[in-house]
Order: sequence, then structure tokens, then C-alpha cells
Amino acid sequence: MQVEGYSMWPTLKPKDRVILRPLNQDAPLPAIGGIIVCKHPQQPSRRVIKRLNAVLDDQLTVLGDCPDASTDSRQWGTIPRSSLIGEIVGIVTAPSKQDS
Amino acid sequence: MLRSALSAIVRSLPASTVEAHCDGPCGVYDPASARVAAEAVLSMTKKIKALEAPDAGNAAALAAYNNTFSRFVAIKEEEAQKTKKELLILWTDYFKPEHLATFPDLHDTFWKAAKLCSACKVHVDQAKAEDLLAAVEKVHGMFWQSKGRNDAWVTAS
Repeated sequence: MQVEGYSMWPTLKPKDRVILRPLNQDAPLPAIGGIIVCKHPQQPSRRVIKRLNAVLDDQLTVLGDCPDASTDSRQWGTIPRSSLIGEIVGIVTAPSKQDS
Repeated sequence: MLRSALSAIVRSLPASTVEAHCDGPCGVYDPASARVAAEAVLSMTKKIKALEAPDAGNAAALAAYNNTFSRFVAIKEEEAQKTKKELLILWTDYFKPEHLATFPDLHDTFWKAAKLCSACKVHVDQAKAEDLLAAVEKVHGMFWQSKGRNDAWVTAS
């Protein structure tokens, strides 16, 4: 998947690629602190990438790494586990200008 | 080298998008917030200019004058800062790189508008306050055009 936006900066920046491991409902939850992809709680057709901050009763608290540039559980509240799509198991950073 | 090659392969593969956006949870943006604040800046600038200082010997009148003057300046300062904040939200959160194709002067417009906010704080300058309102009007036009609308520019004062 390719990242858009800055809410996970500096960990991820636009055009970075991430490798997603899909998780079904029976799979163990990712570790706290892991990066996950989930459905936007108000617009389920959108997929958002955040860091898993806490889990309580199948409700996930997710946060962006860059609070000033992130909309996350601070505004949404917790999101249901059913919104979880998967966890990130690899990052391929976008080439910088110096690389080109 | 292997890592570099693998990265190149991964980057060459088609990928769906995952959003790390910072847009507001409601997605509601409106330059009206900046317009109201900019109007207040202009209004307070006019009021400050219209104030008449009392005679030096009239302590009570001088105290009242100083109080009113201070309040007017504080409100002008606050509203100019508010205007800047509202403009920056539109600039950094609402407008996206693709808007530059339609509005090549987008960055320059916002940059100059933000500079005018600062100038209105530093000075008591009606021309600068009017320029700020005009800059906000330009942003208003760009914003609604980007949404395919043509909302009229209507001021409160």
C-alpha cells in the first residue's frame, strides 16, 4: 500500500510503501505500538494508517505519530476491532531527491 | 544492494492507497471563519484610529481612554491571529497539491495573506487591514471554485 499524508510522520511520509499483513477477526491483535491499517470510523470506504495505542474490550485506540497532522482516536474515540484490516510488517521508504 | 533492489521492486508494484491524512474528522471547511476575523481586524483598526486622546490633565478620562485603547488593540491582535490560524487551516489541511494546477498562485496567496495578518498586528494600518480582507476574499473565491461552487462574498459589516 502507498501512504498519503503526514499523520504518521516521521515514521512514514507520503509515497512510502507499506507491506500489510491482513488480519481476520480471529487473529491475535497486533502488539501495542504496532502500525495498523483500519477503516475510517465514519467513512468505511477509506483506509487509514495509525499506530495502535491501546486496546480495551475489542475497542482500539489509534494515534498518528504526528499529533498536529493527525485525525485519530482523539477525535474519533475508540474504533471497533471489526474496523481493523491488518498490521504493517514492512516499510519501503520513498526515494528521496538525493536518490534520484 | 539486495535491499535496494528489493525496494525498487516493491516500489514498482501497483499499490492501493492508505491514508495518513490530517483532515478534520467532519471534513468541514469554510473560509467564513477567516472572513469574520479579518472583518474584525478592519473594524478594530478603524476604531483605534477614531479614538481621541483626552486632555493630559484629565486623569479619569485618560484612564478610560487607555483602557479602551488597550482593549481595542488586544482585540485587533487576537482577531488577526485568529485570521491567520483559519487561513493556515485552509492552506495546509483543505487545499491539496492537485489544487495548484487550478490555482498556481495558491501558495503565494496564502503566504501574503498570512503576512498581512502579522502586519495588521504590528501596525494600525487601515490599508493593510483592507488588503487582508481582500486576500481573504480571494481565498474565498478559490475555495468555493475548488468545490465547483460560486458562493457570493458577503460581509457582516
